[in-house]
Amino acid sequence: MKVLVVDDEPLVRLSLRRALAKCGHTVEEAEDGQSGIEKWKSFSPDLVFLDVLMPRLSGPDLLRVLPAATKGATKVVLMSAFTGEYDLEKAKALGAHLFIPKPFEDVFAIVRVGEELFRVG
Amino acid sequence: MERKTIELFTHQGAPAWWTELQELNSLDSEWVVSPDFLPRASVIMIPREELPRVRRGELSFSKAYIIVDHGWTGQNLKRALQTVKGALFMDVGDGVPELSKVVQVALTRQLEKDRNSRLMQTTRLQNRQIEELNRGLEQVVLDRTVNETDSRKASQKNVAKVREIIGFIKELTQLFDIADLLPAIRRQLKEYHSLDTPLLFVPRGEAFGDLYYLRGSQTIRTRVRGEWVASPRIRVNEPSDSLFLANAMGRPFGKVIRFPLVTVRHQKDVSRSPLLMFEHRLTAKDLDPLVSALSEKLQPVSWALDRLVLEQELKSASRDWEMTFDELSEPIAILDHDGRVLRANSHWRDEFKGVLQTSGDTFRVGQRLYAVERYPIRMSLEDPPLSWVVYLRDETRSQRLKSQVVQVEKMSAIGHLAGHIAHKLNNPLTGIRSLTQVLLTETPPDGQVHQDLSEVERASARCQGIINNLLDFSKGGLEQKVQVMDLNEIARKTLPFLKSATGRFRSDIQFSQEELPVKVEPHLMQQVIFNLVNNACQAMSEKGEIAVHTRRNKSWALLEVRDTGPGINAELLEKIFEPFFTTKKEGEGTGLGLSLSRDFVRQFGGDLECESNQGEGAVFRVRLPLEADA
Repeated sequence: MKVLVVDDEPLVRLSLRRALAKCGHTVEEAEDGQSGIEKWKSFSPDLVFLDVLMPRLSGPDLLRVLPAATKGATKVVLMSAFTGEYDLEKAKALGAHLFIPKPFEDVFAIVRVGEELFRVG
Repeated sequence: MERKTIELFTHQGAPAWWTELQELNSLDSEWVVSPDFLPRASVIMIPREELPRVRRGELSFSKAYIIVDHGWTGQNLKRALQTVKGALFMDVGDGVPELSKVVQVALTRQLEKDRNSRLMQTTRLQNRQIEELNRGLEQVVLDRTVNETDSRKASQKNVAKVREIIGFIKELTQLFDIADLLPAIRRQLKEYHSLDTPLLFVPRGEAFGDLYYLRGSQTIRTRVRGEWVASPRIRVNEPSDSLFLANAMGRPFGKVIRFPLVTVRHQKDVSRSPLLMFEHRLTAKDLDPLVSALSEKLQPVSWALDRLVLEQELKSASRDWEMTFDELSEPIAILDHDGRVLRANSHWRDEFKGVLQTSGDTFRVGQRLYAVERYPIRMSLEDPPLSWVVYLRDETRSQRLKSQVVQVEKMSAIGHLAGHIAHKLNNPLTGIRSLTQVLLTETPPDGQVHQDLSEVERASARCQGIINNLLDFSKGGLEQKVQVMDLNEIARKTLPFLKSATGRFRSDIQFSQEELPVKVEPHLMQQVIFNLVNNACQAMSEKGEIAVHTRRNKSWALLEVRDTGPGINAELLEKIFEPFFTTKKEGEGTGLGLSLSRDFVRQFGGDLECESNQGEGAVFRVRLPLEADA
């Protein structure tokens, strides 16, 4: 499965990439929403981990401007450290499929959640 | 003259006129009786000048003479005498030779008598005239005397009256109270029995006044309501006056006479004049003298009343002012130029005496801070101030409130900052922990690196926990919903923040085995626990033990925070939950912690109580209703 990680925190990107790769997935990274869109278009990921608060273009804004064609059947997991503002409901309204509050307890659990989301379809 | 034959009486049987005849003999007469020529029973009267001729025998009796007959009455004789003027009659008798002498004498006497009689008559007339004159004079004198006495009496009376009025005025000037006025008036009017005791009405405000009346020798005052318009005239028997007094006094009133006491102050508006009233039994004719007598006395009464009312008002105004002065919650005083206290209210204290020497707007006494306001008292604008009114406003509380506001704002800012920092830290920390978790899978589990990575993972997990708690705790500004939560969990999340406070003390944390689900706003409940534990730590100076216990008591969840500090005395125990009450130094405590905590707990249906004895530490006990297990 092709996974795109869009987060401005390098350590988050790195840890997710390492965990995903370890589970056999192909991973691409983007450091903000703007480059996230470009990567999305060029990479056509099956699953996207998308942070909320990012410079230039935030996760929700990315979802708003992303062409539906580009998005296609891609599953989106919205992540935020600012839990007060977003929850699953709002995430779904934005076109995401799951909401995960940061910090994670276990990064592999996050990976498994992503895999499950992709498998269920 | 014709002859008259008169039968004369004999002197044996003397008729009534005999004495008269005797007297007649004394009369001066031109006629004499000549006995020589007298027939037996006749009286011949001859003129005196003819008598010598008669004696010489030369005279005939050609001239008529009265012959007096015997048997004549006095009346006959008198008539005869009147008819024959100057004639003389006499008793011829038996021709007694002496008779002529008697006749002569009688004649003479008769003439004298006539003369005397005329004289007497004249004299009598004159006397009468004199008497009349005299009497007139006497009357005049009498009249004058009477007048003089009267006027003397009148002036004496006037003097007495003036003296009385002066005495009355003097008496009035010595009165000190309106209550003494009525007895004085009554004494003045005691002679008017048809007047009852005086009543005095003094208007005080727009629609009320004081009615003074006598009960025995005591003056009673009652406040009377209702419109009361005085007229400038004396009013008699006005039914509304009787009705008014009846209502005011609670007894029936008869006829009333009402006098306005026009005072200097009410000259312009007589309708506000005090009124003097009497119940009376006067008749119409009594009225005028009474009114004129009274009106002389009313003027001094008005003056006295004016003075007394004025004095009373001044007294009352000054009393009001004094009370106002004393009731002011802030210290206020009048100081002379050297700072000596001339007058001060009850809040003034000796410590304030240096206040005039300071020039600033504030004055500090011990812990308290006062704003100073000074107002000079001068006789005129050019003069230097004689004294000062100094007013101190306690700014301590408002200063404290100000610092509390600042404190609250500071706390809120710190809360926001903490939230912000927590967010910023969360991202890298998530990365650190996740990466460590990845790395852990890539290193042999029995190697040193694996062990070290585990330490890193645990440390970052702890960091995450702290940050999450910090986030929860700083969410005070955000609306948090009431939710059912385990009280133990809330306490557990809160205690780590108190490490720096509890660190110095032994601690005894005992949570109940079972969960204690309560319906609260978690962050508010955390603040409650934080406050209680923090307070307990602050109460203990050096060493001590802090205990936090939770347990279940029937349908209540209990959380106790116990310290071994100095405890709280009974007096303070009543105050500790009051807002802004604090024993801490300025800037250290807001005085809001306990009061807010109690508010929060009560808001969740529970209560917060404190048990303490001085010297034995204190227990704060939170009681919350348990929710049915979810």
